[in-house]
Amino acid sequence: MKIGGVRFAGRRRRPSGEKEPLPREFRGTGTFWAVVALSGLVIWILLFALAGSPDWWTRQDLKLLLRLQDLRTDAATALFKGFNFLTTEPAIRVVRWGTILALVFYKRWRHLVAGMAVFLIVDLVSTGMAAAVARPRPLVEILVPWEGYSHPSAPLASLAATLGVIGYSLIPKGKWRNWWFFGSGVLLLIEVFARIYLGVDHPSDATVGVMFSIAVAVVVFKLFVPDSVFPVAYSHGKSAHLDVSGKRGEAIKQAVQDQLGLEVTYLGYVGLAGSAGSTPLQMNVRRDTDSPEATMIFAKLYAQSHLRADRWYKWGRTVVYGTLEDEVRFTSVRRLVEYEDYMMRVMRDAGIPCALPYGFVEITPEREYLIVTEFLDGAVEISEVELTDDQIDEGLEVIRNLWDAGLAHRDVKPANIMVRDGHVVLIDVAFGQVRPTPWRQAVDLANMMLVLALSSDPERVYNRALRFFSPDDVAEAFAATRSVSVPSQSRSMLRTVKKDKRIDFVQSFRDLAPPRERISIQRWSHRRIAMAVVTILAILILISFIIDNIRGQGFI
Amino acid sequence: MRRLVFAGCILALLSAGCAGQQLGRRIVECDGSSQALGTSIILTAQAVPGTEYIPCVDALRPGWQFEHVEARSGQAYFTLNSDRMGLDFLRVTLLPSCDIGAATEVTSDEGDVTLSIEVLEENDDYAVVVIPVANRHHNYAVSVVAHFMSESVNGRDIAATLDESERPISEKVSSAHAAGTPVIIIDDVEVETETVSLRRVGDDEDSGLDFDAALAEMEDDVDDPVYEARWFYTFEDGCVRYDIDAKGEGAQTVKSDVARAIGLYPMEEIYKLARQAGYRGFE
Repeated sequence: MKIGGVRFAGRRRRPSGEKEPLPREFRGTGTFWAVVALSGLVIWILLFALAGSPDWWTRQDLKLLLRLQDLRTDAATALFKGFNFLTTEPAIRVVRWGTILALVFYKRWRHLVAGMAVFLIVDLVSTGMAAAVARPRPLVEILVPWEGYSHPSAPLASLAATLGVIGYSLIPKGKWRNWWFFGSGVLLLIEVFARIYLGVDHPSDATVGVMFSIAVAVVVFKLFVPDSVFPVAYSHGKSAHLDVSGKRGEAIKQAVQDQLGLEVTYLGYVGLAGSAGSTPLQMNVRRDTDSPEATMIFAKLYAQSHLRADRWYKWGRTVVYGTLEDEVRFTSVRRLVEYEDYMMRVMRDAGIPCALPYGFVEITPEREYLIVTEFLDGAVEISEVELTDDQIDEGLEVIRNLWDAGLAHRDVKPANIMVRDGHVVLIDVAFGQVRPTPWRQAVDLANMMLVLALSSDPERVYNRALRFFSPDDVAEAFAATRSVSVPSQSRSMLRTVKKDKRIDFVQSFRDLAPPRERISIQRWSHRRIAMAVVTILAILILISFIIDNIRGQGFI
Repeated sequence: MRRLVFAGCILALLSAGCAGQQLGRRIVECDGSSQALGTSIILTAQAVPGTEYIPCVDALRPGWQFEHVEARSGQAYFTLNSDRMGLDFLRVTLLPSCDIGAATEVTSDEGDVTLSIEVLEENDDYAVVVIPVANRHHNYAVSVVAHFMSESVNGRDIAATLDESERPISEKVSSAHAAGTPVIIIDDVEVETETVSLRRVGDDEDSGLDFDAALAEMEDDVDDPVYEARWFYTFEDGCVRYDIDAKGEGAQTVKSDVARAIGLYPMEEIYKLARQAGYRGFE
């Protein structure tokens, strides 16, 4: 089968029981540490929750502690007191704040949230456990300061959690991270021994504290910030872009081969700068099984991170501007991709010039999908072209056809309007909508006219627009236009024009069109008020949390 | 899996929260019924190595609640709450030594242990001065004093005194008011009608009041009873400090109540229990 010159052959249905192309990362170390955590919990309950068992456990610990007490020397004591400094509150606080500031500097917000969650869980649970078990300090001479009950060892738990968070959030996966965890492991062993030697923790306090913290760090990061989706990297690029090398790259090639019947010979990024909501990719696929020639196709990779970004974006819009239109969030990545695929097909059916869709492939069920279309080879962004009247007409006709078909693109900006072989092509229809509000349709028209004017001039565009729209339509479009309704790329270009040429394009169009009262876009609803209150409360809690922790009263 | 882990975390936090009734509230009992070596006793003792005694709880008064033991190297303390005197009305701290400041040594209720007390604020009874205008009013004035002495206002006992000095009435009133004390005037009318006239500080005279009405009038002027003090029990290699900040109903008897409720546990006893339990190294 051939679609748009691309041959599709050799599709394969994944049999029941066969793993998906890119299974969830929670395997190996993740499973191991989850098992360690659960086993630790069971053992801990057996040892400390049953009557008489803490006494038995304490006797076992004391045997080792008393033996070590007999072996103490001045030199060893001084050395281990030095090591013990790392488990003190000031030392841990400095390291934790350093980690947080580094994560803020690199805008690694998800890692920051995960790291804070680890700190919170470890500190809350270890404090709760200590109060529940109420175990005294070892019955030996204690050589360093201590605070509170001893089980589990809160200082060691805090240190282990801190080292784990640093490893997972600041160090790229691979050799360096392996070395970090190896070094951390050695350091923790020394710290455990030091605190036992100094008589401040029982061996079981230290062991449970460290194991519990590591398990929490591994489980939280593997589950909520997996490396395959949120890799730690120090190269430039938007954080929304996923790493397509390694396992994911292989999985994509395999998935495209199996689900679309296309053999991928090259996979790489394309146009990263213009895309924040997905990871745009270029793939070269073999034209025929026996031919070395390749055809370029375009793909966009969507993952949970994009879904979350979409949710936060809609939340922010609703709070700041009210519900302009349909701001309902997508419930899963699958729904997001299904919707974009559907919109491309609906638009093509309506005669809108847009990329030919080839369908989408599943990389990880419900979490990662790749939407595949033709590659607009040779296409350039409309802002880079000196427009002819025909091209202006094509741009306006696109909006006319959208109106007639009851559709809206909702993101009309230079980056989404390409010119290929002298003709206008619309891309990125993911935010499109069927049966939009009249307001949104008017905004689409205004945004298209602004884009066209940026590569020509307002008067010319206005005059061409009257071939497709009435003067009242244009007046309505610019009455509906607000700063928020103009995409940021267009807004930025309009600001430049205003600064350089002292021309306000929006005002020029308003002057050309018949007078019309401005259309208000601020809509108040109970939902918006509730969301605004929740947002303000969250900000206040965050501020008080930061202040508390800076003053040393929080868990950092 | 993520939901499972999330549920696990919530469960762990909830179990810690649900068990909260007893979390950290292990009372340091002076004479535990089982004579077991309680964990909070050991932790308290560990905070001040070498101490001769640790503070402990003998018997809490109704409405009192033991809060928790907070211990770290160098000090351990627990607090008591009261349903009438508020949270943390008593903090008992074990320290290696105490600076007793202006505290005065008094007779100790703990044998050889020295007790010093510094009272910062105390108002347990409410003074009222009864002034008969003439000698013929003496008998009735005495009965009024007796009556008020058997009453209390806002939890404070009334300390009524008879002023039969030779000074003019106005001077007696001024003098009492200067001390913040209200005055009861007894004249012929009061004797005949078995009432009293009340002159509150900074207020006009209210005449013809029966006893209940007079007490009701006084209520507005009477603050809650207060007892704020620091007690220091000092002994070899240690000190136990009570910080008492009692206000409200119960504060008037808090001194004796605290003395009965809190005691000192000799470390010798604790070492003996540790030896019986087979713990070496504790001494």
